[in-house]
Amino acid sequence: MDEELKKTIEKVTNGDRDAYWTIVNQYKLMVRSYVASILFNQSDIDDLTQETFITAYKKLSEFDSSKDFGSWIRGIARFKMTNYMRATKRRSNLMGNFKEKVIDIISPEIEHKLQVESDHSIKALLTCIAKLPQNMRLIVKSGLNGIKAQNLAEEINSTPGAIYNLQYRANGLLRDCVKKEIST
Amino acid sequence: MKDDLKLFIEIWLSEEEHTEMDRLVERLQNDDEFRSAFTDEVIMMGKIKAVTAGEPRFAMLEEILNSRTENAINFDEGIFNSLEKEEKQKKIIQFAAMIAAMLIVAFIIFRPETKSTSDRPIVFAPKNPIKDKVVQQNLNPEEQQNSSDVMAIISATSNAVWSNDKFNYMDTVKKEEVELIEGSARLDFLTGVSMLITPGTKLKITGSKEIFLSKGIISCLVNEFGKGFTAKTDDAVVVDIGTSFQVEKSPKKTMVHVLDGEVKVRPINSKTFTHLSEKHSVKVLNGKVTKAQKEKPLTSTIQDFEIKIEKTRLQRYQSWREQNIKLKNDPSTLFHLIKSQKPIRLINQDLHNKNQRQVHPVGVTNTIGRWPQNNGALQFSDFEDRVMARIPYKGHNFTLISWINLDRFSQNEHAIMTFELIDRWTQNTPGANLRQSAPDYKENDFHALRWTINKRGEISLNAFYWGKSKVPGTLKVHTFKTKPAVISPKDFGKWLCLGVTYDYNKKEVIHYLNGQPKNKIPIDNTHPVDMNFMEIGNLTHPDNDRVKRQPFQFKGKMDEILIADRPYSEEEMKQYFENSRAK
Repeated sequence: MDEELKKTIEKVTNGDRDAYWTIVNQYKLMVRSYVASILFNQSDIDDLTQETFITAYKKLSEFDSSKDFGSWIRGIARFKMTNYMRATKRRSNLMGNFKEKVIDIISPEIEHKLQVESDHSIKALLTCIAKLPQNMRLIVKSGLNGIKAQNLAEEINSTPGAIYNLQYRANGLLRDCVKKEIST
Repeated sequence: MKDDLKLFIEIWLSEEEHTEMDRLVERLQNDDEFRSAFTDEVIMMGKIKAVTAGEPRFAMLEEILNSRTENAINFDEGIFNSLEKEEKQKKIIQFAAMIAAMLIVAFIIFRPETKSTSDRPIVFAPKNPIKDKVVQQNLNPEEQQNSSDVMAIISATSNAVWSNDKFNYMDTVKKEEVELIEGSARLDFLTGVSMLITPGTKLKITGSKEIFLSKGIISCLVNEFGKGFTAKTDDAVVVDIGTSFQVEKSPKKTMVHVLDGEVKVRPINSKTFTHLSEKHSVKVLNGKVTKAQKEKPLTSTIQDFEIKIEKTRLQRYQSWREQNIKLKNDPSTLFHLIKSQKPIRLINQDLHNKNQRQVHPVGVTNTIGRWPQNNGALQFSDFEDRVMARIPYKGHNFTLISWINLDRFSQNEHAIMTFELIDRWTQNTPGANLRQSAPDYKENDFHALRWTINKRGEISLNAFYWGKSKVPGTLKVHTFKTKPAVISPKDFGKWLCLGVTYDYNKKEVIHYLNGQPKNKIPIDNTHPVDMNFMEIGNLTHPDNDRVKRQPFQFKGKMDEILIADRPYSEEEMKQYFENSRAK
């Protein structure tokens, strides 16, 4: 763990509440993108992100500084998401069960990939989104879920299937672009 | 793999069940490459959402970091512990189930001989109508619990300032502490007690018919259902026997005065009650009940409070009428609808600056507005209800205000006001669609402006412009949305003042709720809006079979709509609200 972060954690555990905002600002984007990879509703994403930081603040004194802080806070976020999914899932709901299964399967993979992520990749992403063709940018910025895809399809006189296809192509373009941005 | 991956993403995002779901989950489990590829997609979409969504506001975290936390309940500790417990319980249940299974098997193998069927008496178990009935649960578990926790409602306030700003007019109160710093308020208990709280009063609701008064003065009116209502202090216990009474708690003593009927009073550590009748007062000090020196009311009564509320309401109505005259004379006012009690078709003065030929109501009916005795409102109930009007206005700056009373969230989007161009309205002919009109427009020409509320309670102002002409039908959208959501189900049935200002010079859009700014969002759009045709409470779709009709209709009431050709300042928005609020 870097020294700067260690010092900040120490300050917070010694009573300097304002210092915690440094941690929030540093990890906010990462936690938010982690939660957003599983949940769709932006309000839920922001609520769970906030709850993650609240819990992390309360448990900061228990954090082992020899471990990776990012992994630790993602663990808290994961815990929050599990509870949220349990609370909101309706019984015998096929889609609910499907989502829970998928999340269970891919969670270790997500954690592994995010561990090796650099901060620069998220910043590079903003640049790359701006470079996308107009229609892809529209789709990517709309934050797709089923309902939005329907609305967007109507707006641009297309079909939801075509929109998901564009999202998939956009993801590929963005991945390549981010790789290039980081390497230069 | 690509096809499976695309299909998986489509199912994941659309949340629509698909016959291939099980096969794809199995592939996800067993195929490392597929799993890695899907994870990459999910991570990418998460990152995109995180970087493109507006800046979140962590209000709760701000509160925690700026306030003491000694008394905060540690929810998370609770969650961790209960999950641990749940794990342990699961193991116990599994063990018990195993034992039960073994016992059942043993019973089947070693069961005692039974009589022959002809000797066994036949029993008809009567159907239990209650058990067999399927109860439609409309409330989610959280709502069910919450509705049973409610002890009282804040049913009237007069310049009330609470120590906790979660309390407002028509809010519910549970078994919790309330402290009124300024003004007055009336609480109506579900058990039949009305209580006037005066400034400087702090009390805790400890039961459906019980409160603990820490300091201040309360005036209670107890009806037949509330008999036995008890007010406790450090010094005394006051029990109603069907009355109207007042209690004052000051640092060293408690005073009780009976306005009507009878109460019984005892010191906190005594078991002996003293009965107190109408127009008498006692003092409880140092464990003794003694007659008060002056036997008069300790504070104003609930009836006095009602008269005061009514006077305040009339004053407010007067302020509102004066404001309406000012708005009428303000050259920046483009449209001002103030709904009277008469049907909209019959009266011109509802429609400032317009006449009946420029305003066309469809299906909307008359109902009661914010000022029940004085004005009406437009009721939007059915799918096609709306009011159509021509503005017209083209420019870079504007203000939209509407007083609304929302019934419910009935679909994804609810239109407050929508502005479209003339050809949108002429597209209601078979075969017409947006693509046909696209060649007439250049890139960045205005297409539409929509002010809507979504089902999550977020208010959105969306400005649509045409995209590049070589890609017909492409639209660019500038979205200005409140974050977090500003309307929740507890606001249903309440009059809310919604506003939005679009300030091109300052490059910002500000959303307002009840005169208070909620969100400032930067504008990166340089093109003007062109408000020509307006619809209030709905959005007309072109009649196009290819496009599924999305409902936009507003469900509820509106009684005032204001559009100006300039952005109101924060002070103006606050003033407008203060002058037009009825309560």
